Amino acid sequence: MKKISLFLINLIYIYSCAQLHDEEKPKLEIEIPFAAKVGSENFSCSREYSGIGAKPGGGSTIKPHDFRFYVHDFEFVTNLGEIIHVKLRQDGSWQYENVALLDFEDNSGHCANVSGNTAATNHVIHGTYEKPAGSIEKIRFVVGVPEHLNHKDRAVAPPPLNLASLHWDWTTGYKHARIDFVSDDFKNSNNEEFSGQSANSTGKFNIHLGATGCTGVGSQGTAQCSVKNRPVIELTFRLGQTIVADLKELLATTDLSVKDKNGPKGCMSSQTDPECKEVFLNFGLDFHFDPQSTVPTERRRNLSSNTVYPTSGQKFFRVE
Amino acid sequence: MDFHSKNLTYVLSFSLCLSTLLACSSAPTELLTIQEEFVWELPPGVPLPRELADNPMSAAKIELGRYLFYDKRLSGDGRFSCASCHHQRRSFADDPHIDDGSMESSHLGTVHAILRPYGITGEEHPRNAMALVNLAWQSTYTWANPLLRKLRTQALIPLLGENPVEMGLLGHESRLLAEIEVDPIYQRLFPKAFPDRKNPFTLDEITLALEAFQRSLISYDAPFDRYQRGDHSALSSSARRGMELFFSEDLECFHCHGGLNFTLMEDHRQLAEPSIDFANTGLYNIGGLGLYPPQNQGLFEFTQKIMDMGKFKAPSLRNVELTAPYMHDGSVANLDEVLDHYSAGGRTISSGPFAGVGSANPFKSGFVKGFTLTPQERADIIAFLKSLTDCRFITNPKYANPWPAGHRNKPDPLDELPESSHPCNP
Repeated sequence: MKKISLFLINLIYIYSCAQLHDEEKPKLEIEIPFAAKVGSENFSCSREYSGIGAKPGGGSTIKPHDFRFYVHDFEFVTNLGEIIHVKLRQDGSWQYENVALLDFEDNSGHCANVSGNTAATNHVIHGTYEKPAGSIEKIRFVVGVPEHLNHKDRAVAPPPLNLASLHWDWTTGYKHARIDFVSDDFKNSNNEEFSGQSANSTGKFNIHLGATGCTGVGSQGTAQCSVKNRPVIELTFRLGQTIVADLKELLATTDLSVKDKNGPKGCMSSQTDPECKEVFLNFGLDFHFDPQSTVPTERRRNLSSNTVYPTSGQKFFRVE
Repeated sequence: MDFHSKNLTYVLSFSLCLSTLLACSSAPTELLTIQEEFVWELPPGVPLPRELADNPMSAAKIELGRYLFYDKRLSGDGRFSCASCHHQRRSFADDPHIDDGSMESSHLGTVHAILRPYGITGEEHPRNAMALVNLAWQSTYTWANPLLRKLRTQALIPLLGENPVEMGLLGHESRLLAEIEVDPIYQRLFPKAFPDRKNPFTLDEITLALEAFQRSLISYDAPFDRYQRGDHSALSSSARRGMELFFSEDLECFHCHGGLNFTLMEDHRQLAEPSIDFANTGLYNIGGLGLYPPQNQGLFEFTQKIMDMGKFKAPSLRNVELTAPYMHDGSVANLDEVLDHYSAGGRTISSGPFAGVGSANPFKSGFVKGFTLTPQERADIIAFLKSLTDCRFITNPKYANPWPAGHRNKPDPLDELPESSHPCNP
């Protein structure tokens, strides 16, 4: 109880300081537009896209089913090295505290009748920031739901954290990103008797990014996950630019004509799921499990919860 | 006392009555709700389960949960209910004798045919449906998930889960809520179960009621229990010899299958904290690396620590005779093969993608070290395991499908005919 009171006092203190601080520096409104693309083409649930993935001779054709992801902790870096936090507008639907949901599926076309999809979309982050002395050179954000919100009771969570389709009840955390599609090229198993797949799910490739390695008591919000799987993104950026999330880049090194080797269809974030390897690397996440070694390998980036340093090697995001 | 033939009784606590009377005398126009206190009807020696602060038991909740458990509208396509994979006459494990589309046989490499449950999209489930028995005394739910400590949380997995799809309710929640809201039976049961809720027709309340019903599934009346309570004629001499072997240091069975419910996964009011234990029994050892087949890697899936590879819950052995096939993946067909596995100290699979010598699994429990049995000893152990069958539990009308005949949730009567070989048939 003592700890809680101290924590509250701290919060009040921080809040009042922030209030004082607010009066000193002018607040600027900011809109940060996002766009979902497949290569150079805009993402649409009604389209299909060819030339996707690393299949020799030109890639595969895919039809989208879902394209949603959470983002949090936006900040700018200026030429003077200032780090400017973006405070998200609390809109009661897409943004809550420091986290926002970006939703590019509109429940139409191929995305229609996919369980849990919604007609509403959201492409823009709305917030405020304090006018810096220097000029903005970079933007940083983290993909996913932050740790302190990740293991609360979803049933009573505020929007946008109340969507069953973006929650993993099994690990009691959120799907940081949910990017699903089908490809006729992709066969869900090389061992049909063991895959847990059937004709109905043939071709389905789900990318469900979420924290794994979780222990604790899920229902009490105390679960701790050793593999956070929250890509930390840093991009060269100036105001007015759009951040593009490119599915073609995310899948660039995955051969979609190869049968799903093991585990769930597509990549569901386990370090033993072979389809996660290339996807993870393109998110800028480590993929370290080596079944030939019985010693768990060290994970450099996944172990840190948040913005210690930007993820390197990510290809999913760019600025246009 | 024959506790099973009695209905659960609900008594008004004296203090509540008193306060009601006092309140009435001072404010006669005020509406008062009388809270019923739930009484666990248990045989002597069985400790009380914990009361859940966020979901206290009540007769009304149990009754609602029972209707929901058998309600096919809880699935995405209206074909499956919880009971599609959890049949009372199999101690609420899956029933290979019922062809309701929820089970099919598959093959495990070179071993033999096994049975796996299927979800509404035809997706095969990697795991064997567990029996639902004495869940109020369990510390964690499902085969290896250390996070699921409450049945209300667990219920979301079959309802909404996508890996695999089981009941496939995701995206159909509002349809379900709209349907149950206008069902006359639920219009009576929901407000009764949740009198304080302004709108009780929510997914949250559904999971709370399912939790209450499942916690009410109580089985302590097997021949073994009657023997323990002093009826020495309840066990045959063979079963008594088997019991000696089961609890012996030679066989070591009881180390993992010990306690009130023959599982270390135990919790009740007399424990300081829940007992939690997952173990690798050497069922697989792929490539000699200790690995288990993908999608069935046990506790490792959650901790991502290699030493947790293949660690699963030792399930309760109550009614084990009725719950074949066995193990987390249903890959062991009968009790004889279970004894083969443990007497060898682990299973050897000679060929195929999962080949390996299970007894050499580096993550295996030290208690699975193998043993030799004479044919008589083997028969004795099986006789003991069969003495854990509680025929009153599986025929208890309190747990049966409550929907009226002819209702969409009441299966074809043919489905309900027990096969002649059922051990509880006279």
